[in-house]
Amino acid sequence: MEGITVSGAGLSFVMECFRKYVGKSWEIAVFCLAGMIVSALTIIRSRRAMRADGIYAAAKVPDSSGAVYGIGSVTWMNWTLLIMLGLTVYNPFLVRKLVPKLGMTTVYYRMFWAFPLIPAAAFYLTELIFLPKKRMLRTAACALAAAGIILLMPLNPGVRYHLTLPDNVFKVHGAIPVICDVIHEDFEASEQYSYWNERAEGLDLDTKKGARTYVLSFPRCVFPSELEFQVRQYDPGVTLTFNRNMRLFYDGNTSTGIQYTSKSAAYRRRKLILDVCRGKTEGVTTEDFQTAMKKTRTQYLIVNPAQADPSFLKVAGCRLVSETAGYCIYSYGITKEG
Amino acid sequence: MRIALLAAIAAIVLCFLFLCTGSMIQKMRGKKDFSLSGALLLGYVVYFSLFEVICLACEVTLAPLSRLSVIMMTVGTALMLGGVVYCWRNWLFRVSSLKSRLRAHGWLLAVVIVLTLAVCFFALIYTDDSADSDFYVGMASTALYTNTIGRFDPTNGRLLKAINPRYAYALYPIHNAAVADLFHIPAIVAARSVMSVINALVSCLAYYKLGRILFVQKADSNLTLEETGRTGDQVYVLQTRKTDVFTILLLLLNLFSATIYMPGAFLFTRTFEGKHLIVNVVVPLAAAVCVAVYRGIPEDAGEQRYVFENLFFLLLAGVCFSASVSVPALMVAAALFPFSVYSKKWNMLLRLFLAELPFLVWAVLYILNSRRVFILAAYR
Repeated sequence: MEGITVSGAGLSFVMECFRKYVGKSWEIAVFCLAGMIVSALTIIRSRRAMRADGIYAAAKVPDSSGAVYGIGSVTWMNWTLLIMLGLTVYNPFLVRKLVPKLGMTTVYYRMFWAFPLIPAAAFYLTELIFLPKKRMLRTAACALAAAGIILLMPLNPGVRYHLTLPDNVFKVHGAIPVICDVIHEDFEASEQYSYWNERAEGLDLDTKKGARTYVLSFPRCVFPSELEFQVRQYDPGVTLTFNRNMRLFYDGNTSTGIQYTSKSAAYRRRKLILDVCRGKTEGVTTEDFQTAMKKTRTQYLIVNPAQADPSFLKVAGCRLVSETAGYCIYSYGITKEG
Repeated sequence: MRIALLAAIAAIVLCFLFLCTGSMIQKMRGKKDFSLSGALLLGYVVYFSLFEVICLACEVTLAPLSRLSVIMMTVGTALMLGGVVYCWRNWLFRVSSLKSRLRAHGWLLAVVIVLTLAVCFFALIYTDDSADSDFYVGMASTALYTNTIGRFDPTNGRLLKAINPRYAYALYPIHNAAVADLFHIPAIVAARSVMSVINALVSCLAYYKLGRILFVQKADSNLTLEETGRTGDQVYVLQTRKTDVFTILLLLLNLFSATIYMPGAFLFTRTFEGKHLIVNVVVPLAAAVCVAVYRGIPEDAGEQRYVFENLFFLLLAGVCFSASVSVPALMVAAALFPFSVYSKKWNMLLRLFLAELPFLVWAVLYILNSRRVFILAAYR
């Protein structure tokens, strides 16, 4: 989980992660635990009553009312599961040793899925609702529980921030189809495309040479952050200079657990290109920029006109292909056929 | 418009395929309580188990995606034909008893349906520009565009040296590519609309199925009507209504869960990911299996093996969905291992081991692959 490490949290790592996992929905955990405790106490009481009065007394105990399987077996299962998980994957001593070795620090939260907290809470809540015998009371209890959840608990962040109709049937930013069309049109009229396309023809895609040549017949681009992660979902005929982890790291997201330092030449070059795209040209020479573009084989830069410095890009040898959908598309090292 | 229409056809055909697959298995098992929703759920799980095996074979042999699509089309057509010929009478019988079942649900069913449609609608309109979406949907798009299986980095399009062990066995995104290939729709539409909506529906069915098992009522032959206080019909109605209330509360709790780590975030926003299927389909169904075993359902000892058969398919499908299959596998082992030992059911222990085999085989392959004892080459 982001911001929580075994080295930092030590033995409280599991608890810290759990706190972050449930967040403000702590009522679910409390209700589930309360249900498990009350139910377990009821079972113990009923067993004692059975032992004291003989088997006949079982009929008097509400939980073993004969016609129903009862909540006892579910509670037993929940406790068994919780104890077993507590001894293994929720065991702070074991977790402290194992999680860093397995590289699971950032994804440890998934271990909390192993205990079905929400279904267990919903189960005990349902049993509580059905405790009254009268139908009216049950209906009122059901309405009260639903209203309580809706009014007192926070709405899921995904729903809160994303409840809007998409721009198009592909559910991507409206600019992406337009930009991709422009890039393909420009690239397919270039000498580079003809050269690599001719070489790729007749080569077997199953071989390393064939597959690499095939990839070179695609334009390589750098997109702004709001478009970068959507482009290849829509158009895999466009290749990107950045890979996912590098781009996330550049944007300040370290949730992948991967760090890039200035020692990494591959990252340094890509960072320089993106810095220029964002108008951070201070201290950057055109030679450095051109080297970075050549080494990374970057052919197209899609920039936000409000951020980029057009004069720097022009001096560095970039050509403005088009200004469309609110973005400027520059090409570098692309020569037109004929 | 054409894409939207083809996407709708794809969703209907796939649901029908799952229904046919599940119906045939239910009928082969001679199940008395044939259920359409249960058949769809079982069919979904078995279909993806089958897909995992076929797709893995294609991936290892560097077969093109088009070959996988043809194989899946052949298998799918055979399953649909078999389902129609073999099970149409069961479907008709089930539909004919719809009225009495609707009466048992009462108005609660309307609330369940509205919430389920809301989940599906949200899955349909949700837009995502996250890095995860880039990877999983990009994997399908890249496979379709290059006519290969997992050989290019979906995030930037470069050729991989070897297929990443973490994603090599979780082949669910390739299914989206195969669907896109067969129905002539873009992979992004297959992944983010067609399969997203189906996954949302299947998740709600999985939660409903868990409710059915949690609130199953026992008609104890040793007890008289006076002792139980309920007739058979009343028992069924009570189970049905409790299940409806459980499903409603569960969906509401998921909707009102506060963090992006909880299952609710995956149910409402990330239905295109394998992780969603793990946490909202495999985990609830694995929990249902555990409850069924603790309660001794079904009572017939011969039929109990079907519970472990289902678990086997569930974990195999889980391998197809995500490397997080270790979570439900661990959960089942943690719940059932002490139970089998405590109740001295050694036969059950053997069944548990066999049911966990897909996970164990995956774990061994993953470890060997990660340590480079062998690699899955991306080219010859």
